Amino acid sequence: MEKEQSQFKLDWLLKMNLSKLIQALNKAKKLRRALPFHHQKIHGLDIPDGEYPKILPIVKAIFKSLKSHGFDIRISYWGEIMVIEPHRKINVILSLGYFEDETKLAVFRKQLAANNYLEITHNQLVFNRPQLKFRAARRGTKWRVFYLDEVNILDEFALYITSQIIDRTASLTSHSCFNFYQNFNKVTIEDVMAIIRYGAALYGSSTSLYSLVRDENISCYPESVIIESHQIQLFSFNKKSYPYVLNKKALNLLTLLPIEFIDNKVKIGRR
Amino acid sequence: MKPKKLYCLSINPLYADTKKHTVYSNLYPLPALCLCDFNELITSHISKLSQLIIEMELSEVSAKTTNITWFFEQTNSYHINIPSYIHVSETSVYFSGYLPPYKQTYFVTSKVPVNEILDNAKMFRPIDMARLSLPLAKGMIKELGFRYQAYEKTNDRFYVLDDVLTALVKLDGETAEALESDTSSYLLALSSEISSLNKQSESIELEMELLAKKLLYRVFGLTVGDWISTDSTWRPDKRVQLKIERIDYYNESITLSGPIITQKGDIGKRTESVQIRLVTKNEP
Repeated sequence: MEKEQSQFKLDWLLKMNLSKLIQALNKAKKLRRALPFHHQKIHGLDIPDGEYPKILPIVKAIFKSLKSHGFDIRISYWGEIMVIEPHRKINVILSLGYFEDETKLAVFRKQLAANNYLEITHNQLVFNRPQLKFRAARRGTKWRVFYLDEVNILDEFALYITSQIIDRTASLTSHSCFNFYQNFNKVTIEDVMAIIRYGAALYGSSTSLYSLVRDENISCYPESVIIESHQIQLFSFNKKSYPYVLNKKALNLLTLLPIEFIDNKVKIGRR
Repeated sequence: MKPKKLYCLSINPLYADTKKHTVYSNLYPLPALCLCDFNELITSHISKLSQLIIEMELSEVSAKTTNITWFFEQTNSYHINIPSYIHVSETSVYFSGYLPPYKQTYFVTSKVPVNEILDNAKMFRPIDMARLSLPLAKGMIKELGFRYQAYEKTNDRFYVLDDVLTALVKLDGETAEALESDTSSYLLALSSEISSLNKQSESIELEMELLAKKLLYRVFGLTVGDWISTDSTWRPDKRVQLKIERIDYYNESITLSGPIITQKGDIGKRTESVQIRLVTKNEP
């Protein structure tokens, strides 16, 4: 009886954790619209809204299977999914969406530079099949790609993905000289710049972000940014921009990022 | 079943050269490539739109479509739900679109010739000269004749006035004394009339071109971009195959010109032309 109860409690806890993860993914959806304006590639759930109900059960099943194998799952405010292997703490990045192999793309880009258009066959580019891919966050690892439209039994597929992750991380050591994702879930200046560009695109000239991005001397590679309660200022190595006044719209956008204000002021730089 | 045609198109920014200016390339993310599957659905749409162009005498039509996929390198993924438009002109098809926070199109794809996409475009069309005696054709030919007369009249007047103007300008330039006020006002009036005549003749020319196109479509069923194969006008024993690119009307005859089509069925480099006489000489 007690055993059953504890099992039930464990299941309930798992469910709670899962719903929290899904909530975090849903919350990140709003911010992910700014991703085309971001300089770094941020992985995660890149699925149009119409296909969410189709993909979400798969994500849930995979999370459940990973949790039962002792994996820790973290989701950043951008919606990046990081799976941490329990024994050696190896970070694995998980991503779902419509992707393309980068080496394939380079070939096509080269051909398109010479011709205006190409006639290709259907199996050269895979563009209408949702994929799942994962990769250990280490130097020299490869993306492992799985197609989601071939999935029949969810639990089986989830177990298969889990076993694949275990297999692929088996040969890696626990020590790595460089951590790619040391800024995971921390706000950097690139994040702030992405939001500024997105705001400029969204609201046009009705916010001061519009003129801030067009300040060519400073907005290309800023070193740090200071956000006060109602103004924003960018700093480069030897220059600084004018302080720009933030109106309500702009402030609302910027507060989508988890910025911690100390005395109504915060300085964000490259870490 | 025929294999479907999948095209991979390159992308160009619509307004500024955003590839060069870093600030704008950050602000206006461009897709790396555009994929379009020219299946039956989209080809029928294209042929419908091109029909509209001919009937309404337009130069380009655009409509919203959904069958296109754009690839963005920033997110490394295919975006399916990007608002995109198809643009069809007489000879080519291209697409345009924008990323959702924006509300205006800011990138376009390169152009694809229509007759590569449509299946029935690579067929030689006949020219049935007997259809010129239809009442519809006769009325249009008459109207074209009137336009041509008006064109000739304005041109004659233009050349005569031009001579007078050059003479007056010469007078102004070669004599040391200043012109009288009357003469200089003549000069002004003349130059303004000449420019208005020029505009008039240009507009008549455009009208004639449109009318000739209309006649060609409604009488022979031919449009720009069609392939034709007829006897040569200049050499009686030779056959000419060409793709229509230009339609001109001059003195009761329509001239069709364009690049030749080689024996292999490709579009060649040299251009040829064919003349269609609208009024036969022995007619009263």
